[in-house]
Amino acid sequence: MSDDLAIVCVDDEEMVLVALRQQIEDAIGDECIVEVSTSGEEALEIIQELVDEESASIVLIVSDWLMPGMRGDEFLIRAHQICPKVEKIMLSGQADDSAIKRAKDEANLREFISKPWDADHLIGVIKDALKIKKNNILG
Amino acid sequence: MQIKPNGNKKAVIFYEYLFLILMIFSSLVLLYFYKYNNISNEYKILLDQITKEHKVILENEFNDIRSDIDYLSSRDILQLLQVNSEKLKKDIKKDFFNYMKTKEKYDQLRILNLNGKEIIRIDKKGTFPVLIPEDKLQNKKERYYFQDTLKLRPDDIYISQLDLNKEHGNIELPIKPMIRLAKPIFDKNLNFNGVIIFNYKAKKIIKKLQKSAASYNLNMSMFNKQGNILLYEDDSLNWSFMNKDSKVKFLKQINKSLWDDISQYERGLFENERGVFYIKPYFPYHLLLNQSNNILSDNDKKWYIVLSKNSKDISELALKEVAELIPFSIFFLLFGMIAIWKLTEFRYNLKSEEEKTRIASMTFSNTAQGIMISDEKNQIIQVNKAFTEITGYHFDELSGKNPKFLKSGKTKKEIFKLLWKELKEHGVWEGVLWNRRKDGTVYPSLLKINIFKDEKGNLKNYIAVFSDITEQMNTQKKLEAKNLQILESKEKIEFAMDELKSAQSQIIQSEKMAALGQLIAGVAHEINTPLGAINSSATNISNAVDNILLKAFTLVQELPKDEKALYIEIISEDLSRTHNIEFSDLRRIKKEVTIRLNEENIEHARRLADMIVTANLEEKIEKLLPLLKSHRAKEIIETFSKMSSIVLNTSNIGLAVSRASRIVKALKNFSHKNIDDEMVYGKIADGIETVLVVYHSQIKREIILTKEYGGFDAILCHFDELNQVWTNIIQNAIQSMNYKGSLSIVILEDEQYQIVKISDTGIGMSQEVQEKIFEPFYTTKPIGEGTGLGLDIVNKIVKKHNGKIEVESKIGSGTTFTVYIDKNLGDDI
Repeated sequence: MSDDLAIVCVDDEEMVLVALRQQIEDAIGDECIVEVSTSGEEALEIIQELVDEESASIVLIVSDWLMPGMRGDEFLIRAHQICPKVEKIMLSGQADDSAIKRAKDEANLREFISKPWDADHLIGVIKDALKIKKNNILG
Repeated sequence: MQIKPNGNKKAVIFYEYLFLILMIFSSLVLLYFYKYNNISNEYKILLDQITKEHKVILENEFNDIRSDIDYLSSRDILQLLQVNSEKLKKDIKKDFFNYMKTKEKYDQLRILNLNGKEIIRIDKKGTFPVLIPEDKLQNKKERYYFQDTLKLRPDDIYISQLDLNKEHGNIELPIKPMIRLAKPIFDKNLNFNGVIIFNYKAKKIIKKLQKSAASYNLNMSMFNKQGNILLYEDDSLNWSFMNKDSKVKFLKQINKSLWDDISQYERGLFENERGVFYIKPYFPYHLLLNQSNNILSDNDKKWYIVLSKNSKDISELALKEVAELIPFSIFFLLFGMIAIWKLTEFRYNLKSEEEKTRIASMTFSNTAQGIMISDEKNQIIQVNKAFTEITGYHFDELSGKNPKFLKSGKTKKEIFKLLWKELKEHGVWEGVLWNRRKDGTVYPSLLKINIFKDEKGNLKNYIAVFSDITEQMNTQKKLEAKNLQILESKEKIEFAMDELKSAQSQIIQSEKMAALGQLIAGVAHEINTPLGAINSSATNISNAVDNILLKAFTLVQELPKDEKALYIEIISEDLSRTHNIEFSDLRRIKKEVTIRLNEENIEHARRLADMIVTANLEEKIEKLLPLLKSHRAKEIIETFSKMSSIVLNTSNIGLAVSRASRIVKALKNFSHKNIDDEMVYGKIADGIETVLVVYHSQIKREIILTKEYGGFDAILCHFDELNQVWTNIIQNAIQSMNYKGSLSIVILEDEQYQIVKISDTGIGMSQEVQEKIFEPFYTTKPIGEGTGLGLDIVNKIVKKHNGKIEVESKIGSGTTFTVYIDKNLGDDI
């Protein structure tokens, strides 16, 4: 198993991915790599790949909700099926309450963060997740 | 009698002209006959006169001949015949010869003895006498003239036919008309001794007769008793009976009627279709002997002289005289025509004036308007029937009275003042007066009074024409009341219309806002996304700046010389490039870079690879290797990465801002309401794009959107209202597909329209539904989702653009709305 840790970000808007990636890398770039994808489908492939190859351990999945094709809740539910232990947060401009509830129920959604997001809050959440992961690995 | 229309007048003039022409023509014809008759009569007189002249000429001539014969016979011819004295014979011959010399008219003189032998013969050569020698004298005993003469009594004279002289059996030329005269010679005892013969040349006397006739332009013909032609109008027939070769020998062969007249009447003055002619028989014997009791051959030897004037010649003369009158006739004709025309005009004018007067009088009596005429003292002198019918007064009751008594007292005094003022100034007044009938009832009369003046301008009459307008006044009152009602209703309707209009405009706006309300969550997401990106990128930049400035500065100072140079080169040359890697490629590239770094045994390969890719330096690995192998590699690459991120995040902010403002602008456009209701220039595609931006969040999930806009020009339109059209149709399309399917938007153009086709792959509509969708308040949506006014409003807006909407739909396979917008609306203004 690699000692590398990974965070997967999904958003159909590249501008969000650019900003988000940089933000995360600035905060915890030394500890984690950031994988980004513009669609749920592609992101699932990445996750599957990371899990299969065991090249990196996924710490956190961040997903938008309103996207063409697969929506955020569905994506997180399916990601949950692949890696149930990974922390998942939703980062979206708007989402159905029902969708959030469904994600919480079926994907163990840790938190819904609405756009525009507070960087400190997001990083805090990420760091918490990282801590948990590290403890898990150590433990 | 009625006034004839103009056409009749023309016909009258035409017939009058025709009559005039006929009259003049027949006058000319009559004149011709009169002239003909006159001329005939003149010629009759002439014929008579010339015939008498002829008779005198012939009588004189034959008297001469007679005396010649007597003279010669009185010579002692017996001695010549009985005594054979040569000297005496010679003397007598000489005597005869001399005599012949003086008598031109005789051609030959002979004396024959009782045996028929020539004793003396004197011929003429030209006018000169020649005594024939004795040895050349012949015996003529067998000749008819000798034999005939033998039969005569002592005082008789033989006269031959008038014919042409022949020499040796042939006619002597030039012709010599000849009469032979012979006288028997007896002795005392009345014993026959011999014959004296003269040849008388008739040519001269004929010439004389002809000349006499010709001097009066008369034709002269001569025929003998048998009807042979001696002289004729046609010269070639003269003496034709002498010519063996001539077929025409008798007059009856060429002019039977004349010969019939001659043989029947013998003599006299005649007039018939051939003309006028005088037939006169001449008996040479009578002429010669001055007696009519002739013995022999009286009838046989007679000639007829016919003097004539042909009808053809007479009619020519008559025509000539008539022709002289033609210029005068033409003048007369023209004068007559003008006179007729003028007279007819005058007659008709007179007639139409009479008619006018009659019509005026009839109108006066029969018009439904009352008419009253008064004199200069305003005393009534005439009223019509209608006046009596309206007022109840008869003329007898009014004659000479002042019209004042008609007043009812209801008319205001000011009106009468005005009336007299107007009449004085303008000679006319028109207005309403309230008058009283004979039965006492008061009625309104619409009255017009005119003043009639004579030529000198003195007032002669007042003419008042009026109608009882009681009915009209009642009707008018009713009409006014009705009109007021109508006006009131109209105001109410207009008010209601205004309210409806403003309600409609409010409905359109609220429809739009309702749609917006439904979209607001999606729109919030659309705006929050770029806001998030902006916020984060701003933080990123700020972090990067904080971190790298000092680090980069330190690195530049502390790095060894070679690395320092490379470091500065990369910063200045390679970092400013923009990021152009697809996100999906990022992982692959990072992996490749990591592998390469691992090959070089560089620590923190993965982290460095991350940063290299972030800094967009993945293609410069080989160049970077010296720096990567440096013990400060991580710091160096980190500064690269941060610097690059400043550029990247700055551009990201730009993108996000433009995205956000695009959405805000679309929202503004979408909710905008044009208060003036004026048309503006706008591109259909822009309107559709606005709507698509607003609906982006709904479309982007599972709807495949295809657009063909064609780049057409802006058109004059109600742009905001059209957005309502696109919103409705696109929203319906999305909802009918349940947010999943294909949405196609095509803009086309033809001569008149820009055409928008919006097709979905939704559930479609049945025929029944299609028929109802444009009805107001019809909806298939659950309560609360649609007002049912959408397509009704859409339809109104499209009609406002002189356009139309067509729907094509099939259950299960989708719907296409085709909207036609008139692109030339501006041209009508």
